[in-house]
This record gives sequence, structure tokens and C-alpha cells, in this order.
Amino acid sequence: MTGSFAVYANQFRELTRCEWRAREQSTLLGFLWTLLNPLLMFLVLYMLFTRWMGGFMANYPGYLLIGLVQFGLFTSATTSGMRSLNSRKGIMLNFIIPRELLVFTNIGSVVISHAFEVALMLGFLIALGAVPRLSWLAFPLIDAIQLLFVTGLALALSVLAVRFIDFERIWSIITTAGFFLTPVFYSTAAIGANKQNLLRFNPMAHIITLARDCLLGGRFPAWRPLAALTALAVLVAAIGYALFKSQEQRLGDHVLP
Amino acid sequence: MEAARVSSGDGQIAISAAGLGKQFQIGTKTDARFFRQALAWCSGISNTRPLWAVRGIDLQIRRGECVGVIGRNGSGKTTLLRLLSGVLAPTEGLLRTQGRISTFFAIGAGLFPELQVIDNIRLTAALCGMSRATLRKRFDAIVAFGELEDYLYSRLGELSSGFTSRVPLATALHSDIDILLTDEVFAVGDTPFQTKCLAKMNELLKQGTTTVMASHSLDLVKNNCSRAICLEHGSTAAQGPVAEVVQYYERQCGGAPAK
Repeated sequence: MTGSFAVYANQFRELTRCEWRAREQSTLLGFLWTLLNPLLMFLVLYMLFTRWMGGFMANYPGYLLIGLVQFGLFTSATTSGMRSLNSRKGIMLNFIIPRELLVFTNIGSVVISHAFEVALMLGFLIALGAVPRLSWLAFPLIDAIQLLFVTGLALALSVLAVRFIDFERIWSIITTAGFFLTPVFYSTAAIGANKQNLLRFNPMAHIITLARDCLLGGRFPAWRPLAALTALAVLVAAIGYALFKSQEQRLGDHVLP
Repeated sequence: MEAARVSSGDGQIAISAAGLGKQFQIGTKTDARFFRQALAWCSGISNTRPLWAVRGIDLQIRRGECVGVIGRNGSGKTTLLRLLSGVLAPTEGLLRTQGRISTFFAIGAGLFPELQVIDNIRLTAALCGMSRATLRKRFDAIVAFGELEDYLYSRLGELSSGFTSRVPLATALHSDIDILLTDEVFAVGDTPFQTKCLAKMNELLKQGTTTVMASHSLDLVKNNCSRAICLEHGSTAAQGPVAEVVQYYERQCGGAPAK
């Protein structure tokens, strides 16, 4: 396959640009659609739960917004990465490029949209009275850990999605269930101890908690959960990449028209 | 025999294949559902059957040589080219290649009809391994070759199918190519554009580009190739000087077509 890093980087840049523009800018509202989805979800959930959850925390709007943006990154990146090989089979069958590039560029286009969401989210937090603190500098690190985690997942999911044509539907059910099994719109304090223990096995619950701690609580993330999440993200990325590479030779067979 | 793909050690040989074969599972698409597959694994009953699209292909192509691949529909031409390119992995056999391979299959299939022509030129150039600096230098030549001056900011999907195919072809033909694999790709576009593409391909051949050309156009193969391989049911039926192989194929098809 194509060797030089410069060629690879150029292919990544052009494919990511095209993916993003095709996704966001070809519509009438352009990339505003990107922001509309979390905003609408925010308004609905805020109206429904503010009275109930407002008793558990001081800044429920900020709490909810961070949860929605970070869980949105998880859903969009895994779903888009999973579909990448099927949606770009024309490129796969007609150009000689490293095939993981298709997964990376789809995630890359999601990350561009996520960057806009984060910018809006930070502006919103400030408008709500949050003061930018030094701890905000830790947020990109948490985001990077989450990105590594979702990239590993997406690599594995993309292989499953070309092998099984109904896997996209299965993953859609899993992410919907995951939304309710992650403290996006509710506080862990509002649920029972048994259910809190269940959430301990959900990496997204920990990632969102760390993001809230540094953006709302003004605390740098404690090193132990940060190290554990980093180790998990590296492990998932390594497994996802190894699975992808082990199946790479057969991917062409599965996407043939 | 185990399948393997390695870079060739002999500098004069661009492509070398020995016992090359590709097997597909026919019926996989209808059975590619998660629960049906799980059921098939548990029960040991599968609705698929193996099909060798190509098998036992022995081929040696020297640097700068142009080889034609002919055969009836379903004879394995496209599969052979996809194997040579690395787009598909062989099920068995040994394949050695040396040099940068450029594939001219359905290269318009991967593009973005919702984006502008200029975006798709940039994308095709990147996918063909062209750097940004090289594209800048060759951009005007690409646009002139495809006669795309008036359409650079149109969406690709707005163009006629002929013009749509010009965008990737004009770009890819201006990339750096060591080994060119084509599969009926020059059959697109109008006659003047086809002539221009063939002239460009001849220019590449004169520069020493190794070419493997699958086509149903026997004149195209005869005029451009020195050797040819004729496939039947995935196997080599004839291989050698182009005139002899074309003659063999015409006999198999019931004589030469009337001119």
C-alpha cells in the first residue's frame, strides 16, 4: 500500500475535508445542523428534568450540555466510523489506499463538528456564569482519551458492519440503550446504589464525569481514573486496530457489489 | 498453496504471479445478516457455495510491457486486475509487484457528487498519491485535459455522466504511474476524449509505464499491447503474442466481428 507519510497525510486531509463538507455543508443550513441536534436535545431534556435534577446540582444546564456533547461524540464517531467502509466502498475498490484511512477520515469529520459544538458549549457555560479556570485546560486531554476509545471501537465496528449488513441496526440499539445507561441527563446521586455500581463499568460515564469535573467543578482530573481510562482507551484502540488489520485482506470481498 | 503478496526482487519484472487464485463465497450477500450467520455457525449449515473467480494464473510482466486481458463476461478479467492491484487479496498463489500501482477501474465511483468539481479533483489527486505541490503544478493541465474550465465550481452530480467521468480520469492520468491497470475505463466519454485518453496512455507507455489492460475492445488491445492473456472460466485459455491470442479468442467467439 501507499508508503510515504506525506501522501497518507494528504489523503487524510482531503478525505476528511470532503466527508465533512458532504455531511455538513451541502445542506441549506450548512453546519448549523450539527449544532441543532444537541441544542434541541438539550432543550427537551432540560424542560423535562430541570425540576427533578435541579435539586441534585447547582448548574444543571451546564451538567446536561456537557453530557450531551460528549455522548454525542461517542455516538456520532462510532456510527460514522462503523459505516465508513460500506459508504465509501467505491474508494475502497478503486483506489489503493490504507483502508483504515476511511474510518479515520469519517471520525475526523465528526471531530470537526465536535469542535464547533465544544466552542458553543464553552460559550454557553460562560453565559451561564461559569468562570474559565486552569482546569479547563485538562478538557482537551479528556477529549483525546475519548477519541482514542471511540476510534478503537469504530475500527472494530467497521469490520463487523461490512461482515454483517444488519450490524448498523444492532449498534443503533446499543447506543440508544447506552444513552440511558450513562449519566447524561440524570445525576448518579438520583439513582440507587445498585444502579450506581452498574455505571462503574461504563467508560463513557467516567469520561463524562471527568469532563464535568474540570469544566464545572474547576478540578483537574485525579490521576487514577485518568490513568485507568487512558489504559482502557489504548487497549480498545490496540484491539480495534489489530482486528481491523487481521481482517483487512477480506474487506474487499465483503463490499463487492 | 498459501496466498502471498510481496514486492518483486527482480528489477526487470514489474508483476509476477504464480498459481494465483481467488475464491468467493457465492450467496454470501443474502446471508450476511448477523443472526442468520450465527444460526449457520451453530447448525453448521451454510447457504453459500465456493466459486473460483480465477485460478491457476501464471503471469510475468516485464517493466514497460503492455499486456491485454481478454475474455467473455464472467471470465475473471476484473477479478484478476483487482488481485494484481491489491484491492482484493488472493485466496491462493504468489503475487509479486514492483512499483507504484495505479488502478483505472470505476474510478468515478468513489467521488462525492454533492461536492464541487474542484474538490473532487483535489480528492482524486490525493487518492492517486499526488502531493499538494504536484497538484498545484499540474492543475491547469488536468483542467485543460478534461475541458473542465467552465465547470470547476459546479457540483460533480450536476454534470453529465460523460463529464463526470472526465474529472477522475483527467486527474489520475496526470499522476505518477509505474504500473497502470485499466478495466474498460476508456470506454467512457465521447470519442475526442477517448482519443485524448488513449494518446495520453500511449505517452505513458513510451515513458516505460507497465500496463495491464482488460477490455472487450479487441482493436484497443491489438493496437496497444504486445502480449495478451485470454481467460475462460477463471483460467488461462491462451497467453502469448497479442495477434495469436486475439485470433484464438475470436475463434472461440465464433469468428472475427464484421468491420
